Parts: sequence; structure tokens; C-alpha cells
Amino acid sequence: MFDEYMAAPQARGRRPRSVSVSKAFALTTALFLSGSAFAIGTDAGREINNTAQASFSIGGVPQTPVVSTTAQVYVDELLDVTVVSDDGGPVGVGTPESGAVLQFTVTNTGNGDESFRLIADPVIAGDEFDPTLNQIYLESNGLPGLQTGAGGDTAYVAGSNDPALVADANIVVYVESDIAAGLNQNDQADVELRAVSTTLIAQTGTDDPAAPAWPAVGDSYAGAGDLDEVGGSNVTAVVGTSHDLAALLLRATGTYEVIAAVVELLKTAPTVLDPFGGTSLVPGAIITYQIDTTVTGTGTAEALSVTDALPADVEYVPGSLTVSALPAGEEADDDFAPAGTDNTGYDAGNRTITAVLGDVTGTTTVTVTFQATIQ
Amino acid sequence: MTHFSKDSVLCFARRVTVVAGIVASAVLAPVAAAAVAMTDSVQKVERYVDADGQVKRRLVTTDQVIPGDELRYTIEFANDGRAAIDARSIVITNPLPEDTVYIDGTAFGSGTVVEYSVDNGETFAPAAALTVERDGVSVPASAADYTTIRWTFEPVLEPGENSNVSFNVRLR
Repeated sequence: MFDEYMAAPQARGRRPRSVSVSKAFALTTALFLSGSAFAIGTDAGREINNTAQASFSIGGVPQTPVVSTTAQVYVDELLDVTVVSDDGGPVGVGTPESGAVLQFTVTNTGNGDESFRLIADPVIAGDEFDPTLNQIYLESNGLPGLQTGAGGDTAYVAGSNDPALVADANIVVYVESDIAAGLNQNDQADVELRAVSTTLIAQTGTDDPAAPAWPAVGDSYAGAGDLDEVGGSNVTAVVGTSHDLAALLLRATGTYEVIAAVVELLKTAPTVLDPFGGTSLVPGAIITYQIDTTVTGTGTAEALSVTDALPADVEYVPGSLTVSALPAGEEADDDFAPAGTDNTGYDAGNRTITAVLGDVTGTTTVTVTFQATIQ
Repeated sequence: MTHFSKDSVLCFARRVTVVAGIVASAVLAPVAAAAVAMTDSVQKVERYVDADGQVKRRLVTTDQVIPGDELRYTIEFANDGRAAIDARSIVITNPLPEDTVYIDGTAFGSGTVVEYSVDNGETFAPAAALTVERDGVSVPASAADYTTIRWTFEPVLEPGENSNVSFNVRLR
């Protein structure tokens, strides 16, 4: 049962978790839509001209070629933005925990220069709890992950430093929250981050897709887009597909999950002492095994026990099982055996040792050692 | 022409000279005497859902486009002059506009032979005969490789007649 907890330790207690079917579908949809939305599009404000030329003859005599009139179009500014969660699954948090971080990437998938208002919403239906939002941060110091304080990433203030992104540019955004005490293991909290073009907010007066004023894809606002490249007037701004209520690519959900305690086992290399004081693996040599059991997190790993099977050709040294920290109520000389089993902690029938560690709070490392003799 | 006197011959010769003079002036000033007038217009190909829920396409005249839009360019040409324009002599060349990609199979013109160039108009060939080099290997060209479209109008274009050619592109 420990296998579940044997994965490599991760930053901030994230627990690896396979992407659910619905999330995988959402990802595929997002990729498809961003592909069809021409994320790398012609810049807003460009003037595109077309002219044809014709040559012709009369009575076998070539005439001076003629040139057509010029057909002209201007490229409007497409307002489009995508937000994706960078966490790859729920972010493990303690209960309580302050400063728990979700990471998102906001990309300007439109074709103009655009600033985006960022809105984080912790009140999402269908989850177990709502975190308390502290602050949104903009990645600004070039170091992966959120750093706060001097030299850290920049705190976001809506309307003051809305990130300005040129076409196809992106920015990493962190949402920092506090997690309440007393939550249950595996409780989840969803936080939605959305990015809304400030042009759209200025035109519609809303940043909320649920509002009646939220525009339809294709709605346009004359003169609200970028400057055109020749005339110095502003092109039309057009609402892009990322605003479609059925998909809403401009928002993404990150999830906190309460992981009260995470147990990791580390079996260190055995040490050998042969009958002659050396380290040769000869009959009669005594091998000392060590297993470090680390509990991290803010909760308690309850009724923790460590079991290990002995290799062939060795015999357990009776009474050699030790633990570095005694569980409450355990005696140092009882080998921490489960109640009702051999008091030595050794199960000769299955050739396994068992050390009962009881309830272990995080963060604690308990070292289990035992010895065996080579036969 | 039964009486061949010197005078009549001279007179005939003068007439010939006059006729030749008209021909010469037509060659020197062809635009005034016989001209092809060409206008180029653009429309957006818009998809819409009709009352029966069918997705249909229609042409909308606009000068505002967004990336991904499909555009149709139509080049109308007319014989504004007084002389007929030779068969197979009207050759219309259109370099594709910047930031657009030709949509395969859309170049059309009644009575025209359509050819494409993948080298900015240096050489032209039918679509099936065009190749481009990719990683040192010659492969059939695709619509995205085309740089220029050329129509050769096969009929005679009489004075007062007109026709048109068109093609569609997608804005990058």
C-alpha cells in the first residue's frame, strides 16, 4: 500500500496524478481550437493590396500591358486569449496552508497588441471547499515558480498593471491562496482564472461571461482596434472564438487538493560486517538494513507500519529491529510488532519484518533498521 | 483599276501611304485606340447558417478582414477599344497578396487556362506539373507554395465585351 506514496518528492507537495478524461478532452479541444483560430495571424492594422496585370495583342501586335485597380483590405484586430492551467493536475496542499500557489499561462492568441484583465474566481460549483484568494502575481523575475518579496514576481493590480501582450506572446500568472484548517483528505477546491481583453471591457462594460452584455463571437467595435499601418486610424476590433460561451478558452481552472500527509520510504544501501571485521559478503557476515520513512504535510499518517521482505539466504537477527522514534505507548524492547503477532516483529513464515510506527505527524523522518545474517 | 496611268498609280500609292499611316499610328498609341480596362475587387466569403440550419457561404463586400478569413478577388477586364483583341493574347498575371495563402482549386475564369508559379512569376505551369524542393527532394507543389496565378484568355475579346477571372485566398 505504500507504493502509492513512493513517487519522487515534488515541489510544494504536489502529488502526481493522471489527467482525468474530461481534462484530457478539454486539452485536445483547446489545441484544436487554437490551431483553427490562426494563433499566428496577420498583424492587426496591416493593409493588404492586390493588383493584377494583363498583356494582350491586337492584330498580332503586342500592346502596352495594363494594370488593374487595387483591391484593398485592412486587417482588423482579433481579440482572442487563452488561459491554461500549468499544474498538470491538483496541487497538493495542507490544511491549513498559507500561500498555496496555482500556476496559469495567459497567451494572446489574437493578432494585435492587447492588455488583459485577470480575474480569479475561487467560488466554483462542484468542489468541496473554497480557498481564500490572497494575490495574483505576474511572472516577472525570470525564475521558475512564484517568488514574493524583494526581487520576486510582481503583484497584479487589476486596471493598474494588466499585462500587455503582443500577438502570440504569453505570460505566466500565479494565483496565491490560503487553505483553511480542518479540511478532509482529498478535498478539492477549484479556482478559475480568466483573462479578458481590456478593449472588450471598455466596449461592453463587463468582464463576466455570465453577464448579459458579454459579446458574441464576431461582434465588432469600429475604431477600437490597433492603429492601421498606413492611415494612422484605428481598425475595428473583432471578438474572437475564445469568447464562445461553449468553450471559453479565455479561462482555465486550477485545483487545490488537500493532501494531509505524504509518506515516502527510502531504503539505504545495507552495510556489511563480516566475522573478520571486514565487509565481505561471506557466511556469518551481518548485514544492516536501513529504511527511512518520511512523512511530509500538515496532517498525520495514521497507523503507519513499515514492512520489508528479507532476501533469500539471510536469516533475521532476533531483536535487531529498531526505530529512531518511538510511537506513543510503545516500549523500546518490543520490536514495535503489530498487536497479536510475534513480539520480535519478524514473521518467519513470510520472512518479513514489520515495524509499527503508529500515528506519525508531518514533517517527521523515522529510521527503521534491522539486521540479518548470511547463511 | 483598268486604267493604269502614272497619275492613277501615284494616286493609289498615296492612298496606300495614308492607310499605312493609320496602322503606324495605331501601333504607336495603342491605349487610345484599343485598351483593356481592368478592375480588381475583393469580397469576403462568409459562412452562415440559413433558416434550415444548413451552413452556407455568401460573398460580402467589405474592406475589413481578420486572420483566417477567406477572400475572393475578382478581376474584371473589358475591351474598351474599337479593335478586337487577339485570341489567346490576354494574359492576366496576379501575384498573390501578402499574408495570404491560395485556396486550392479556386482560380477560375471562363474561357481561360489557369497556370501557377512557385517562383514569383519566373515560370508558370499547370498545378499538376509544379514541383518544389523540400529538403533537397523535388515534391509536388501545394497551393501554399504558389506565388502567382496566371490566366490566359482563349477567345477573341471583341470591342465592348468583358469577362472576369477570380481566385480565393485565406488570410494568414
